[in-house]
Amino acid sequence: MPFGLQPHTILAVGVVTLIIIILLVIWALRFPEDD
Amino acid sequence: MADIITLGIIALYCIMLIGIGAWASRKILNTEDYIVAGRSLGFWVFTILMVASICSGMTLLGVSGLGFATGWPTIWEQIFLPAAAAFCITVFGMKLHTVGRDNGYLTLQDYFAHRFESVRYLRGLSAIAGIVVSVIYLVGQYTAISIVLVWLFGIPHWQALIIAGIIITAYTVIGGLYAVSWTTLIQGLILIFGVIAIAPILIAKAGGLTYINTVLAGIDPNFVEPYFPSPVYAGYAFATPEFLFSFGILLMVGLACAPHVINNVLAARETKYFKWAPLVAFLIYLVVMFLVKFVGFAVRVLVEEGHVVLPDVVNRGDFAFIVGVEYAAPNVLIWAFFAVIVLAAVMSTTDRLMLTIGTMFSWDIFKNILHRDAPDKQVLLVSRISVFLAAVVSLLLAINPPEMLAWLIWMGIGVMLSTFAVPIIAGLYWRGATTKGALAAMATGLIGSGVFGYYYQYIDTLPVHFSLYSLTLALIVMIAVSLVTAKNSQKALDETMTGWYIFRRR
Repeated sequence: MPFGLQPHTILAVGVVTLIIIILLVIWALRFPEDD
Repeated sequence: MADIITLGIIALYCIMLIGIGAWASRKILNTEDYIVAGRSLGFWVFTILMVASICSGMTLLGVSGLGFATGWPTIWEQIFLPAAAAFCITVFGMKLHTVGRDNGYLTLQDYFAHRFESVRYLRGLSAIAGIVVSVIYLVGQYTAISIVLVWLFGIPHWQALIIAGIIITAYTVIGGLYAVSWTTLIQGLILIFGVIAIAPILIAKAGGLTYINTVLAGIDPNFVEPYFPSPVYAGYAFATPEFLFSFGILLMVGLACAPHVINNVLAARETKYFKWAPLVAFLIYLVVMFLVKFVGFAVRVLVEEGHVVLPDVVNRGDFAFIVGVEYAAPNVLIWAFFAVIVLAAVMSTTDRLMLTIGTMFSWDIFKNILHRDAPDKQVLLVSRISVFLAAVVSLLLAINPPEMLAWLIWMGIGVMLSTFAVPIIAGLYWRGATTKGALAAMATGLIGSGVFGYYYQYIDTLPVHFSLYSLTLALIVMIAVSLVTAKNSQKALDETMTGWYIFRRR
């Protein structure tokens, strides 16, 4: 077991964190520039 | 227990905080300076203020305590809390900052009064609700400070409360949000670098992460799972998938609309900060939160193997962080430094809460409802007096602390969620949301959370956190009442950027 954890524990925590990070990067990239 | 070096360093630290308050007081010329720091917060001060306002005393003591007691199934809290900062900045903050600057808002209640064209009722109800939930939350914070001071100095609980109350009240009363934001920046940085420095040492001393997880799995195999399959087999196994769902909404949305958090967005200097602030706040907070949680895991291993002993009290898990750091700190100087970190974490939320209560009373109730022609100097004076009174009232309430501190804090967030989430979200994004709908939803949320909270605590357990029920009820009431009552004027809706969009339309 990696890090002594169940693989699906790492997968679940990793995927949710990654989704939030990706959403926040998309937010920043789509942020309108100053007028 | 404290020695003279620890005492000296903590005294020095407190003098520095009061010094910042005195320095900040020279910048305060009017109420706007006091309440929103003249809308002058730069990127880093704003971002760290968002993180540190959410990062309360329980974040440090409670997160490691929860990790100690429950293992990995509650790791989701460490994702939901950072997500609350990002959620607040993106979903609420961007729009509120833009319309707040256009219209000179000082508080969230200014927004409610403008958007729902209700100068008295909605402003009054939301200010009163805001004060009630902030006081509940504040009692929890003072109790957490007292845990730290009692542990450090071995002084009685009431003495610890008075010392903490005097120091925090002093710099908040004189320096307003300038003092709160600058002391928070320093406290936040101390917290972030302190945790990053000490947690790896402690994890290594407990045998490394892989070993820690193996020991945890030996205590209960579910400790290394992402959730508990059922709450019935142990008292600590409450984090079932359905509970985690409500817990996610509670922490992410509830903290995002907490008055002491959401009001920060009005104080940022420029709108462009909202571009990267959500990601930066999320990442910084995520790293700190995971490390604090791992400290809880590590201390569990150290306790199981007999290296350290936690005090024999009901909330022994809450002592995991302090005991762990004391064990890992190689010398007394570092231990003293970490005593300051724990204090910093608790104080940075407490000062922001006290200022928020003072503001809601002086600006929303005194200036905008009771005394509309009050001169600015008088409002400023009332602000300072009400910050002082907020401290006195919550200190009196904190003299008899509840057994379960985490329960009190979560209850406070639950009430915030039920009361404010629906009016804010519907107000910002639905043009059909009406004044009466918002009033009804706010009242339903406030009363509903009291009823469900009481049931949850004293009558019977519920499969999810009680706030999910009162939130759903508030949402239904908002939609139903809005559909049958008069709409707000197009002018108000346009001026407050109401509709299904975030960025200003060209």
